[in-house]
Amino acid sequence: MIQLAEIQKIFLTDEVETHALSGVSFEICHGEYASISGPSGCGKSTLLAILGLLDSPTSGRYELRDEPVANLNYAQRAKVRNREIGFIFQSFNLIGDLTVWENVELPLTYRGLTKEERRERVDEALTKVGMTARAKHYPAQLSGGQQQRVAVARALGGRPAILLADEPTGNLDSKNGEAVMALLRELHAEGATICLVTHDNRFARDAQKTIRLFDGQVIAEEMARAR
Amino acid sequence: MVIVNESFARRNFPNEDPVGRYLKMGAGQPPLGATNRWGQSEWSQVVGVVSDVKSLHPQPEAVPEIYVPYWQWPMQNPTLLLRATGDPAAWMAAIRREAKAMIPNLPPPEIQSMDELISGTLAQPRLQTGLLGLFGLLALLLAAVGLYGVVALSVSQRTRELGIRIALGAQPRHMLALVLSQGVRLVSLGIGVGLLAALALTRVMRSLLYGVAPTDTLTLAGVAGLLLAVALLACWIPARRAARVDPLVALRHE
Repeated sequence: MIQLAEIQKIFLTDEVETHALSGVSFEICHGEYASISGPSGCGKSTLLAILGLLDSPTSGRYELRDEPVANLNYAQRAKVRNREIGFIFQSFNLIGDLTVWENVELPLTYRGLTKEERRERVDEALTKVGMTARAKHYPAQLSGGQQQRVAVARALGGRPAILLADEPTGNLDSKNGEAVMALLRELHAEGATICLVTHDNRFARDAQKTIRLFDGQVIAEEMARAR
Repeated sequence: MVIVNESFARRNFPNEDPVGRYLKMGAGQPPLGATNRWGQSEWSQVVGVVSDVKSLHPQPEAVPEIYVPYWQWPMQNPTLLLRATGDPAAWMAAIRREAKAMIPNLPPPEIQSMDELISGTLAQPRLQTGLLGLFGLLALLLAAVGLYGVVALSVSQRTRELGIRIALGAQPRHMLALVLSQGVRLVSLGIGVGLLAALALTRVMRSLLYGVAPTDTLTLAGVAGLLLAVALLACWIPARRAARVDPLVALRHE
């Protein structure tokens, strides 16, 4: 599903090179639940940006569904993001002027689906996260936990190859955080491929594969024992 | 006796031949055959009808006119119209000579070619039109700059939203369409209000227009099209900026 080989990311600021990622390699298989964890500044966000095609690596090979994607242009990356990747952000990133329904529909409007197809997918995604009753509400009318569930529905609506979750519980209280993580576990049980970035070891342990980063390098890659 | 033009005949003698009929200029209705203090007949017989010409000012519609023989109604400042072949300037000396021969104590006539006369007549409307055009151009420029400002500010304020849309897979063409449609919505509203105002002010507009009706569809559509094109141009720069937003930077934008 996802293969990274010797990924490097170097930022140049005032002629100073900062090595955010140095030779990162790993693989996430179809239907796998992987977590990337590590301390602040270890390169988690940079790695997630590259995985989500929001940024390009300085060097290395990145294959998504066996297709090299590291050097796609701006528009091509947008197209792959729309079709293959479902984002769940820490700060939800819902659009305040759009209703819950419209927020979930948004990525589908960029795909040329018919209105009927979009309606079907949005309804399905909202049902899956239990937010159908709130479809006409605006994000400001929802709690943090509900907003994150809507964000999960938005990510699911496109039926992506992989869900990328960036600290999805970071802005939630423990109860809502646990509910969102339970939702991710449920989605994984139904066959979704998930890559979770977190600094919380409790949630990292939910994953089948745990990748630990430190100073831009993978220092450990462990497979959890079957639960 | 007098000659009238077609406009006069249409207005005063509808559905009948004016030739042979009598008319009187000025107030009062003396009996037919009455004479004035100089012994001239108060009533004039129409002896012919001529085509309309724009002899007084370049109005789009011809006005009713009566042509009276000079000796029947001598005027202080008569105008004599001559058709010349070749260069009219070559005829100046001959015209002066013949005028002096006909009326010896006549002051030297002021002679102008038709081109000069028309140019003089049109000078004021041309100046007014030029000024109006200049103000129109300035208004268009101000509207374009204003619209650019509004859309650019909106793009700047919506940076995070644009970043979210791009992260979710919006391509540059989607972002261009998003921003341009915002500008077009504003301009369409303005054009609608402008068209309604133009239609409401047709009576005022009519006196300012020459050769075009205030409700002329082609003109109104052309102006609306021009405004729309200028608006699209004004929105293009912020739209292009929106289409190239770096989603990583935009998502960090508060």
